[in-house]
Parts: sequence; structure tokens; C-alpha cells
Amino acid sequence: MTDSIIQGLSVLFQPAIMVGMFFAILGGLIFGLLPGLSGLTFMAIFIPFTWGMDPFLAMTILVAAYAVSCTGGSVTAVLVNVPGTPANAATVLDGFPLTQQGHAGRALGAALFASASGGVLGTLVLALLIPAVTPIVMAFGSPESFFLIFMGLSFIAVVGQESKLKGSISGLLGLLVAFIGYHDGTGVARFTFGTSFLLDGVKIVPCALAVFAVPEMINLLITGRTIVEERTVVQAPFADIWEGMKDVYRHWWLHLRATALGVFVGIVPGVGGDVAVWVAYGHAKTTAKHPETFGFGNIEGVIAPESANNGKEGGAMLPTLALGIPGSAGMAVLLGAFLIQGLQPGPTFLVEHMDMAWTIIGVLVVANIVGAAICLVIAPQLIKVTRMRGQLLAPFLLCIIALGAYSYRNSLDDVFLMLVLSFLGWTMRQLGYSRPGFFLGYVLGGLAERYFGISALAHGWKFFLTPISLVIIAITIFSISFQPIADYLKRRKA
Amino acid sequence: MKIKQSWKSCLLIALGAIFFLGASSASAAQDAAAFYRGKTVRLVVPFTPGGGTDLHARLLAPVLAKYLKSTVVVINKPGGGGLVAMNDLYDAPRTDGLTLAVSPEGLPFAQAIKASGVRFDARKFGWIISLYKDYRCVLVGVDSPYKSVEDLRKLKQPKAAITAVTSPAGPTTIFAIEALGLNNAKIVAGYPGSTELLLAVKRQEADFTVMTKSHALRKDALVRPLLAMEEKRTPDYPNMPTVTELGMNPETKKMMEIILMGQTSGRAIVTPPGVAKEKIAFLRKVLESVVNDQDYLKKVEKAGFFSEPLSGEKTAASVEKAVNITPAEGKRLQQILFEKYF
Repeated sequence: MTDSIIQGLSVLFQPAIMVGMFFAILGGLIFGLLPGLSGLTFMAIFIPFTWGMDPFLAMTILVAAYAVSCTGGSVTAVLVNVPGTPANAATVLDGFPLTQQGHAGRALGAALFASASGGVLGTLVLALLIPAVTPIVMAFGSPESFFLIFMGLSFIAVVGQESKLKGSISGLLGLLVAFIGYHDGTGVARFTFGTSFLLDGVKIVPCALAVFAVPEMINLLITGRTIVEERTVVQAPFADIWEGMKDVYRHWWLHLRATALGVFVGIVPGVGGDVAVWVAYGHAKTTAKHPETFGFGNIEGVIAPESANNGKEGGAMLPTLALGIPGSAGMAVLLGAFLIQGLQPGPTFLVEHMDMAWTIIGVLVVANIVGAAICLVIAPQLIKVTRMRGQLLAPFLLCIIALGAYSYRNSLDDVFLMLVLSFLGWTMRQLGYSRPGFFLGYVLGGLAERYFGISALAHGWKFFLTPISLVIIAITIFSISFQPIADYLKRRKA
Repeated sequence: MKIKQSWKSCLLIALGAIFFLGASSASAAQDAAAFYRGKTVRLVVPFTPGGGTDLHARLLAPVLAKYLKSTVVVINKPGGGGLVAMNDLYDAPRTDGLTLAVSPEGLPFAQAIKASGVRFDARKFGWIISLYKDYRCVLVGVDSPYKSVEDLRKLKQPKAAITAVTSPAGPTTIFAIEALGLNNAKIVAGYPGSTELLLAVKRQEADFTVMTKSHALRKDALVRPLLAMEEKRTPDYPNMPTVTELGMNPETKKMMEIILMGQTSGRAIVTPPGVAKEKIAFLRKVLESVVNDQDYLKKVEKAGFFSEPLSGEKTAASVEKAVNITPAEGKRLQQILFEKYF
């Protein structure tokens, strides 16, 4: 065991591996920055080149690029309200308001440090949990997955800063959008208006861009102002970034909980990392001292999702390495890369190639730290875009946004779809409907429907009567009723 | 003499004709080869990056580029289980022969059962070659108590896990139920992919599923095969019976044949409708060499694909057969697939 740890980690100090990792990190960051491209795209494109490559080098490059893509995506999410990858969508809620208030450095510092630290912690959990992964994965059948998603859905009315009624309406609207396309199982097409591009439903990248990014661009164009509100005192960037990093330390307990949530949701195959960030955000808001400040630039709203989105990769890696079944789409691609190298992940792999497993763990740690460090170094330069005039900045960003919607699946239809949804997004913004609630309903709706259907078919109406399901139901009820009950009791006392 | 002469001239004309035809076909092939040299060929993959088909296409692309002496770019156009890209190719075909696509498995079958979203006529595509065909089996959890299909027959309500009826393995699963006579069977549909199906049978949330044999052949497999859903036994499992060995009633047998036929096309390379015959002939010849290339064979083997190519002509013929079913057969298929077990 110790031998394989030393052997596996010593690989990281070979010059070829170090150079490969550095360029992979840069590649991953750039793919993460651009909406529509993600670490997944990087891996899929790079895999054919790993043919004949040293397996350690190949895995290092793939894992490093994949690990840092969410870190890159958080930069655009915070600075210009454009989530670089779907897993950064929750970061815009508080990250961008902080930027508008002149605290871009602080938000970036917190996001990047939470990312790096969450990634490292998630990896450590991965290393520790390898022996326990089979029981965890096996315990999560369809009913348990459904209730996990249901817990996420219960945050619909909570995530936005608007009234509960408007939040719920927005969430239901999101559910409606989620049901567009083929129905899982029966293959019946719904709400497609006879088009074929809607068969697969509304895809997450055009939807995230339409709901969060485009409305902001429209307002930038209308007002013509800079992103940072005028007459704001902008602090020295490095001091501000340092402040943000300290914020993560100040909220260390939240950071740990959000990371743990990310890891946990990552482990469960079929639920996915895009869910993890919303569960983390909802959790942060329901347990915060001042939930009313969320959405107006509360640093906790940045720390929670960013801790979760890098933590989840450690979680998703677990079933991939230990059972040979991928915990996320990215891991499915990585599994393909393993096969090309003649390696088959699974229990035998862990016995025979323990050193490779440790190399991957080492790469995850180093890549997370180096990726965040690179972003932190260039952050002061990047922050300058927030002081550009709206009329100059918005057209440029709109081009990138349109390109992102297009490149997601090389389809112009997605660009038009994004334009249509942008109208909805902007209207919701102007009328004070909850865009996060809408997006949460949209992200979770399809999953909830799928696992509800499977559970009901496989187990009948008693499907919720499993121990884990009951525990999750109890947690859900507690987390949404805790605050109102506490408020009620306080009022009675007063 | 006259007769002799005319015989001679006939021979001459015939020889000339043969020579001329040969030369023209040779020059057509040369023309096609010259046409492709230095050009950029788009290879459309109708799925997201990273899936099996995508990986296969990306392994194939450099080898194809070598033989065509052109650049080959893989383009992902996912949607509708591959139907979106195929509809697009059909609706707005690029007939210059520079656009190729990897057709999803079971494409002609989707047309035969009039699956929602199908707008194309599979017969009109230019079938270049079939790269690979999945060998499907009835799979049960590796530590489930079921030792043979007989054990499944004894169950009060056997549960079969599938992604969707319209997925490549969906119809085969339903016909496994038909062939085994599991009249009380329940179909648990909606699993998003193979990972979830494997876990479902491993956890025994469902009793069995139908997937490719590769899932059972890998190290530390989660599943074990009981019955091959093919006509021939596989050397990997010489003792495993095939579905055709079961005593089926004639109607079920006929339907099973249609399904197997509809999937013969497997993962195939196609051109959009309307590409010139010479180019298709040339591409068929090139792809024939590509699939026998040592480098390519090594790569696909490592990636876990079995290379079982089927020539373009044969693929086109089986597509023709699969699509040309009688309306009564089509109706019966639809009834069994979409109504009987739901």
C-alpha cells in the first residue's frame, strides 16, 4: 500500500508529466471559461491522441484538464454573469452582485479558493472512501435517488430572493420546460411542436445562458453603464482577493458541509454534478443567519456552490475507479480513455494498479491548487473588464454567449432557442420572478420525473418505504420547515 | 469468312467495350480519389462527445484520413437518440460526398415501427459499410439466484429494466419477454443509460435486462448472461442458448426476425441521399481497406469494440428488408412494443 502510494505520487515529479499537466490545466481553464465547452469536451477531443501515450501521462492530462474546468468557469460567472460550465450556474446568483458592488476581487478570491480547497478535500474523501464505495452506491436505488432530487426541488421557493409565491410559479415554469422532449421510457415526444431539435429537450447550456447571462447583457446595453456600479470605491485587487480567501476560512463550516454535499451527490450515479451545486446553494441559504441577503451579494452564496462543484468530481471518480461504472458524463468519457490504455477500472484494477489510482488522486490535488493559483494571479487583469463601458462589453460577450450556445452541440437551433428563452429570462428578471427557481425546476424536473417513474414501476406505491428514503424525506421536511417554525416561535415569545 | 469476320468484329467490339467500361470505371475511381485528396471530410456523430459511437468515430477518423488523403473532422450533432442528425442529413443533404455520418444502431427499425421523430427513409442513405454490430444477451445480476432462463419463467412477475422502448436494446428486450413467454412480465422503463441498467439488475431492482455481451465479459462484471438474443451462438459463451433455439410460435419468430434484421445495419457509415454512385463505390472500397487496417483493428479492439464489418451492399440489402414490412406486421409490432406490457 505505502509502496504504491509513493510510486504513484512520485510519477507527478517526472518532467514530462509536469509539463503535460501544466498545459492540460491551461487547456482545462480555457475550456471552462468558454460557455458551451467544458472539461468533458476537452477529454472527448483529446482521447484519440492518448493512443500509444504513456498511460500515466495520458491520465494526468485528462484528469487535470477535467478537474480545473469548473474553476475556470467560475471566473466568468462572477465577473460577467456568464456561467462557464453548467456547474457554475449557481455561482452567478451572489458572485455577480458582489462584482457589481465593486467586490469582484473578493468574490473571485472566495470562489477560487473554495474551488481549490473543495477539490482537494473531495479528493481526500475519495482516497478514504474507496473501500466503502460499493455499499454506498448499492444503497442508492431509484427511490433514494428520487428523494435526493426531491430534496433539491424543495429549494425552489427558497433559492430566489423574491416572494415564495413568485418563486413557486417560476419553479413550475422550469418544470414545464424540463418536460420538453422525449419522455424517458416510452420515447413519446412532448411539446416539440413537430420539430426534431426539441426531441432531446431544452439543453442545459443554452438554457443557463438565456436565463442568467443574456438578460444581464441586455441591461448592460440599455443602461450603457459599466458592470461595477459607478462611484463605487474599488479596492486594490490583491487585498480584495485575499479578503475573499479569508472569507472561505471564516465560513469553514459551511465550506466543509457544501464540499461534503458535492462529494455525496457526485457518488450517486445518475444524479449528477449540476444538481450538487443547487443542493449546496439551497442548503447554504436555508441554514444562513441572514437568508434575505442571498442573491444580493452574500459571500456564502459563492462559497457553497463553488465548494460543491469541485468536490463533486472526487465523488464522481469513486464509483468509476472502484466499480468501473461512471458517476458522471465526464467520468464515462474517462472510462473510455482507460479502456484505450488497456485498463479496466473496477475492484481488480484497484488491486493491480493501485499506483495509477494514487497518481490520479495526486493529479486531482495538484491540478485544483495550480488551476486556482493561475486564475488568482491573472484575476486583477480580468477584473478590469468590469470597468468597461456596457456598450463595448456587451456585444463582445453576446458573441461569445451565442458561440457557446452553438458549440454545445454544433447546432444553430440552440442559438435561436437561447434567444427565445432569453426573452423569458429577461421578462422574469424585470418582473421579479425567480430565475434561480426556474432554473432549479428545469435542471431537476427531468431527473425527478425519471426516477419517480422508475421507482413507481419497480417498487409500486410503497417505494418511499426504504430507510434511506425516509431519512432523506425527514431531512427535507426539517430543512424547509425549520426557519418558518423558528420565526413563528420567536414572534410568539415577543 | 463473313461470319468469321463479323464474329471477330463482335469480339473486338466486346473487348473494346470491356476495356472502355473498365477504363471508365477505373477513371471514375481515380476521379473520386482525386476529388477527395486534400479536401476536408465531415464525419457526423449523432451523439454527444465521449459515448461509444463518438469514441469509435474518433478512432476511425485518422485512419480514414490516411486512406482518403484528406482531413477528417468529427462533428457531434446529438439529439433524439441519433434521430436529429439523421433527419437533418435527410432534409438538407450535402450531396458532394464530403459529409459522412455514423448511423445509430437500429435506424431502419425505428423507421419500420414509425418511432416518433423519424422523418427519413433509411433506404435512401448511401450505406458505405457497417462497422460493428452489438451482440445482445439477456443479463441478470452477477449474484442473483437465477441460473437459467427457466428461473425467470418461474417468477410471479419478472421485471425487465430498459432505457426506452425506442432505444436500440428496447425492442430486443420486449421480444426476449415474448420469446420466453413471460406473460406477467413488467417493464421498468426510463433508466438513462447502461450504468443505471447494470446497477438496477445488480441491486435486483429489476430481474433482468438486455444489453451487449461486453458488459458481462469485462473484469469484475456486475452481470451474467443467460440467453443470446442473436441467431448464432458466440464463441465467448459456447454453452449459452440463443433465442432462435427456443420454441417460438411462428408469429413471434417472424417479429423477432424483423427486429434482428433491423439491427443488422449496426453502427454504419452512411452518406446523405443523392451522393453520386461513383463516390459511394469509391468510399465503399476505401472503408473496406480502413476496417482491415492493422492500426485501426488494434485500436478498436483495445477500446472494447468487436470489429465485425458488413459490406455496404449487404447492409443496404438488410436495411431494405427491414423497412419493407407489411402494414399488418408493422401494426402488430407497434402493439407488442408499445401496448402489450404497459
